[in-house]
Amino acid sequence: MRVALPLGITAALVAACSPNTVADPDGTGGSDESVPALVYGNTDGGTTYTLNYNVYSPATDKSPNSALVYEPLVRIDYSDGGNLVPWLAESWTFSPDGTEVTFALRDDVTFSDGEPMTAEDVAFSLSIPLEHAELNATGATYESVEAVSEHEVLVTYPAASYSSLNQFANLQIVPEHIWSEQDLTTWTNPEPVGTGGFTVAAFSPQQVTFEARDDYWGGTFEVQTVKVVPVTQDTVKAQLLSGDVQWGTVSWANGEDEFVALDPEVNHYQLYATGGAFSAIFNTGRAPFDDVHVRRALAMTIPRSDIVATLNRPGTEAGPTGLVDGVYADWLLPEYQGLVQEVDVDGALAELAESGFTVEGGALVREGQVYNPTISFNTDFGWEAYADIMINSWRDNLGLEVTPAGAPGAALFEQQQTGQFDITINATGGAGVYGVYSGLSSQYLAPEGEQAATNYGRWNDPATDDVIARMASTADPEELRELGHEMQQIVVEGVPYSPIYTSYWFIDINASEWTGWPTPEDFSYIPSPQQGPDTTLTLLGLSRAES
Amino acid sequence: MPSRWAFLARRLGFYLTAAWAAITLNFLLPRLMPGDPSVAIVDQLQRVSGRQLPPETLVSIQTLFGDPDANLGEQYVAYLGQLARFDLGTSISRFPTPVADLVAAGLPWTLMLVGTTTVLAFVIGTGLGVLTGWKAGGRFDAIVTPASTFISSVPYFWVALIALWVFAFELRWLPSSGGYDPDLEGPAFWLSALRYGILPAATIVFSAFGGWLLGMRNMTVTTVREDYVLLAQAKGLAPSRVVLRYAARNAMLPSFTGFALALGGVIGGALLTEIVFSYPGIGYLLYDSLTKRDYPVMQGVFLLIALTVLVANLIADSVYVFVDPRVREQG
Repeated sequence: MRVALPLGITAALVAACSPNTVADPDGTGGSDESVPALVYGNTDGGTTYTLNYNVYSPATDKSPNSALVYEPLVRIDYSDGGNLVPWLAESWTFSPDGTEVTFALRDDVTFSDGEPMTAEDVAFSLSIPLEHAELNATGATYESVEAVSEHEVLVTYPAASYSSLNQFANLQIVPEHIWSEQDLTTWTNPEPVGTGGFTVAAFSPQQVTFEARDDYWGGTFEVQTVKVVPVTQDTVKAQLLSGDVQWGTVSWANGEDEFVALDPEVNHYQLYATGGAFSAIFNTGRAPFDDVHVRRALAMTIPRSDIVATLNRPGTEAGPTGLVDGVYADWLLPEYQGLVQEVDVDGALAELAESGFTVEGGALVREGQVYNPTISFNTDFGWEAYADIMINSWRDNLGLEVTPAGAPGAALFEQQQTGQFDITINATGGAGVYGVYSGLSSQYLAPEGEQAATNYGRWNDPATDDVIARMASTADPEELRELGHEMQQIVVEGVPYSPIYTSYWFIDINASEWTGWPTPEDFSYIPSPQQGPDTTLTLLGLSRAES
Repeated sequence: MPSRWAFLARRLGFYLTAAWAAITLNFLLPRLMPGDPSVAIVDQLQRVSGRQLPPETLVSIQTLFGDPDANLGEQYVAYLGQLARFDLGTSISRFPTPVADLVAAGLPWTLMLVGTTTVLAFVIGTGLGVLTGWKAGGRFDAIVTPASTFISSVPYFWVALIALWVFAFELRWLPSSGGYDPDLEGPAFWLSALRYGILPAATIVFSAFGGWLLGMRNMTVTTVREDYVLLAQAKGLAPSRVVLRYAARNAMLPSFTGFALALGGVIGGALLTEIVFSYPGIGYLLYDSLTKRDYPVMQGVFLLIALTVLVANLIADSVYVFVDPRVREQG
C-alpha cells in the first residue's frame, strides 16, 4: 500500500515505532475510520485559512475549495474547446434576437439542508451581483434575472449575447432561504449550505475537512472525506512522495524523474492545457509598436524553443494564433495546427526594412524620432531569465536593444492596465474561441493612462470589432468556427500579441489510496482540486485502491 | 533610592513620547503613500475573474473601507479612538475579518515559538560563552567556538530545509508542516502543538545560539583579566563563584541589552521558519499583507512591533538600573 521506494520503506519502519499522526494520515478524522481521507496539499501561499464561505464576498482571500459546496449553472469543458456543458442547468435556449436566455434547471437538486433548489434560488443568486456592485466580482454583463417557472430562469442582456454564457460558470447558486436574511457584504457564511457534493465538517486555520453528502444529485462518492491543508511548494513534493498528501497543483520541473519514475503506477504528474498562453503583448497604441512591421519583426525573433527548454517543458511552444493546440485543435486553421514558430532572422529584417524604421545604436529611428523600447514582466514569477533570452535574440539578430523592466505582480498589473509599457508579458486566452478573442474588442479600449480591464495592448481594429460582434450574435457553431478562422488570420497577420508558450494546469497525484484519475491522453474533465465541477467529477470517479 | 525612581520616570516619559510618535507615523505613512487600497482590491478581483468591473464597484468598495476624502484630522481622531478600543480596522484581502482577529490568531503561536527559542538561544549561547571565555584557548574553546561560528554563518533556511528533510521525511520522527494536528482536541491537541513545534524551535535555537556565544565569550575573555577577578581568585573564592558572580555578571551587560532588543523583535516573528514549516504565526501574516497591499493588517502588525520593541527597551533600561549600579549613578 505504501509508496514503494527506499524513502518510504525507511519511513514505514520508523513510523511503526513512533506514534506519528502525520506519517499516517489515514488514522485520524473522517466519519468512517476504514475509508482514508483524500488530502489536498494547497500551495496557494498562506500558512492559515480564514473562515469565509461567502462566495460573493469582496474578499480576495476566502476559505479554500468552496466549489465542493457551491455549484454553478454550467461547466466549461476544457477537453472540448472550452465549450459550455450543463451542470445545474440541464439546457438553455436563446430568444431569436439573442438578448434573452432561458435556463432549464435540473429538478433533482437539493441543498445540503434538504431543501430543493428552485428557480427562485437561482434568480436570487444571479441577482446578487446586479444588486450589490461591490459583490460583482465576476463582471456580470446581463441586466436582469427572473424565475419564470419552478425550474426555469430567464436572463436578459442589453444586447445579443450568444457567446457570453461563460460568466455563468463562475456564478455560484446559493440558497435564498438562508442568504436572503444576511448582509451579504459582511457575512462570512460560517456554516455553508450548498448544492455541491460536500459539506464543511470541520474548519481550523490549518485544515478544512469536507464530508461527502449521501444525497448528492450527481451521484455517490467513495471518497468520504477531503482534507485541505496549507503547505509550501517544496514541502508538498516530499509529502506527495510519502503519501501524506495525495493531491496537489505544484509545478514540478523534474517531476518525471523525481516523482513519477520512482513509482509510475502510483505517482502521476500531469499537465493539462488551460487554453491560454504566455504572450508578448505589444502596445499598439504608441510608436513604434503601432507599426505592424515592427511587431512582426520582433515576434519573428522570439526564440520560443530556447525559452521552453529553459522552462524544462520542451514541446510547449505556442502557435501564432492565440488558440492552443491541446484545447482548440478542432478550431484551428489547418496551417496553424501544431505549428512551431522558429526564429526567422531574414523575414524579420525584411519586415523591419518595410517599416521605415532603422536601427541605430540599438534604438529604433524614424524621421528623427528615436525609440528605446522596454519589455516589462512579472518578477514574482522569476521571468527575468526568459526576458533575457528574448532581449539577447533581438540584440543579436536585429541589433535592437530592448531594456528589461521587471516589476512585481501588482505594480506590473497597474502598468498593463494603464498602458504604461512598450512590450509586456502576460497570459492571453480564455474559455471558448469568443472568450479568447473578445478582449481585443475596441469596446475595452482605454486611452493610455486610464485603466483598461482587458485589451492592454490598446488594439483598435474595425475588422476585429466586426468579427467579435458577429461572434457575440451568432448561435450557429459552424458560423462561430468560420469567424474563429477570421480572427486567427487577424492575430497572425496583425500581431496584437505574440504567443510564446502554452500555459498548463499542473496536477500531482499520489494514487496509493485512490485510483480512477483521468490522464492527459484520456480525459473529459480536469482532475484539479481547483476546477469547480471538474473537481466534483474527479472525486466521483475515484475508487479505493486495491490494498 | 529616589534617584533610581527619578531616572525611571524620565525614561518612561521618553518612551511614551516615542510610542506616540510611532502611533502617529503608523497613521500617516500609509495615507501619504501613493496607491489606493480600494484600487488594489478591484485589481485583485479583476485578476481573479479576468473581467472588467463596473466603476460603481470601486465606489462601493471605497465606502466599505471608509471615506478616502475625509479630513485628515478627523481621520486621526477616529484612528486614536479605534486604537483605544483595540480596534485595528478590517483586513482588505480577508474582508470582513477584523485585523485584531487575524493578529490574535497568529500572535500566540509566534510568541510561544519565537519567545521560547529566543530565551533558549540566549541561555545556551551565553552559558557556553562563559565557559569558552573563562578558559579561552583551551580544548573546549578550540572546538566549540569555531563550530558555533560556522553554524551561525550557515543561512537559516538551509538549516531548516536540511532538518526538515532529515527528521521529517527521512526519519519521520517529526511532522513536516503545520503548527498542530487539526484533528485533535483538548490535551492531545496541546501535546501535538508541542510536537509540531520541536523542529521549528530546534532549528531557530541551532542557528541563533552561536551569535550569543561569541559575544559572551569575547566579553568574558576581557573581564577575566580585570583586577577584581584576580583579587577574587587571590582571596581563594570557589572558582564557580568567581566565574558567575565576578566575571559573568559583568561580562553579561552588553549581551543583556542585545537580549532585551531580541525580545522586542519576537513579534516580527520568524518569517522563514513560518514559511518552511507552514507555521501559523504572525510573520507570514505580515509578509502576506505586504504583498497584497493590505494596509490595515500591515499597520496593525507594524504598530504591534513598534510597541513591543519600545516595551522591551523600557524593560532593558529599567532592569539595567538594578543590575548595573553605574547607570543610576550617572542619572
